[in-house]
Amino acid sequence: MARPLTPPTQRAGRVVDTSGRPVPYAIVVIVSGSVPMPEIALRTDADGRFGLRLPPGIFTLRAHGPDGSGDTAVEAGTAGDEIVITITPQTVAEGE
Amino acid sequence: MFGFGQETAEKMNQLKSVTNPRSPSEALETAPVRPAVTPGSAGTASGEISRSVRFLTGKGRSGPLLPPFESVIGRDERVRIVDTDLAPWRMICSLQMRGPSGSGAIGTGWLVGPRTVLTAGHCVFSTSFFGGWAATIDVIPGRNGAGPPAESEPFGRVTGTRFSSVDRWQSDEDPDFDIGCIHLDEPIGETVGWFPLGVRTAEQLEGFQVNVSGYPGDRGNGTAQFHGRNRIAQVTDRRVFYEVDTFGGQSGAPVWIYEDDDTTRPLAVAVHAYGTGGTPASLGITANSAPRITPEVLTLITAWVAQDGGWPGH
Repeated sequence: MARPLTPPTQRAGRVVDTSGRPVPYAIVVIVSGSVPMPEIALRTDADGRFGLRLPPGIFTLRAHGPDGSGDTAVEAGTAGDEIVITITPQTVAEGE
Repeated sequence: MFGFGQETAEKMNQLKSVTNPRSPSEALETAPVRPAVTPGSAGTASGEISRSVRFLTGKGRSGPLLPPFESVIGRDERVRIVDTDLAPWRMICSLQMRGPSGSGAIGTGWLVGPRTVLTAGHCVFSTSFFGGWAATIDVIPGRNGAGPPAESEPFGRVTGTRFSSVDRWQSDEDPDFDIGCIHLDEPIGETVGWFPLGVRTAEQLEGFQVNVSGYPGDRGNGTAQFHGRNRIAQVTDRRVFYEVDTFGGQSGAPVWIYEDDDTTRPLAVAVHAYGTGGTPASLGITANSAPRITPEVLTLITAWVAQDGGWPGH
């Protein structure tokens, strides 16, 4: 359960709506992953941007904005493309 | 001797405190004195009993094990707390963290002394989210929604820049040691009160209902307090596992019990930190989890509170 030997890689991300407009101050959470990740939530800046370092593995990131939510899968381990999470109206997960 | 298993017993007194560079004190050695329970306080604000405590919280060992939930999957059993100006809800704080690069994050913390806020280690130190120590953390006790601060922040907000965590968290980011604290200059605990902390063995915790209340990001955008409860599912040497619905942003929330059905005195036994993904597959359960208040963790926390001036009369 200790920190992986391979260092985490820095990834930049952005939360947008279905028109591609940035969603400021959205919440971004790692909802699942191949390694334990704590229940902290990131908040995007005024331009909808966020950043994090991920250890090697596969993760699902979810963004919540005022009008809905959206998920995206991320494979971490090497420097990759910008993570883009698109918020879709009324796609709140079951039970939320 | 404390019923915490061989591994834990062997590591007694091996945990050390680590602090961020802004903190004036360096690593504290754990002292051998281990009180079983720390003093709590209801604070000097209103002494009115919260109706939410009577109707929502799980007490004692009564009640069935509710259907399992993942972090937020299936039916969402969380209930919003609206009387956050009353104890114990007002002791629970919305946290707004900022990393050295300006990155933002949210979490939950809770008063354990007049000037000490306990939280998860990753809320103050995280390679993934801050690249190390957080830079600043805004602490908002009893936050109640996104309205004007005069209404939604009944006790205002203070900013902390001095943090501590456990050496094993800083070096390994091991979920078993994911505990940290915020040292405040202002004694906001005198007003809102603070939780008592209790060391309880696995056998003593068995069957208890646990309560978890914090500020999730998916409900109220991290500004509203939500509570959930359920019976403890399993206890290991270092962590307690429970099927209580939680979500990102609730990291650092208190996990507390009521030791009998009639009491309104909470007893905090762990610090919520992980969703279902943090539960070892070997346990064969779907549950969220929290590092426990073990004897040596309690000793560290006692040292952190002492660093901030201590508990009145102690």
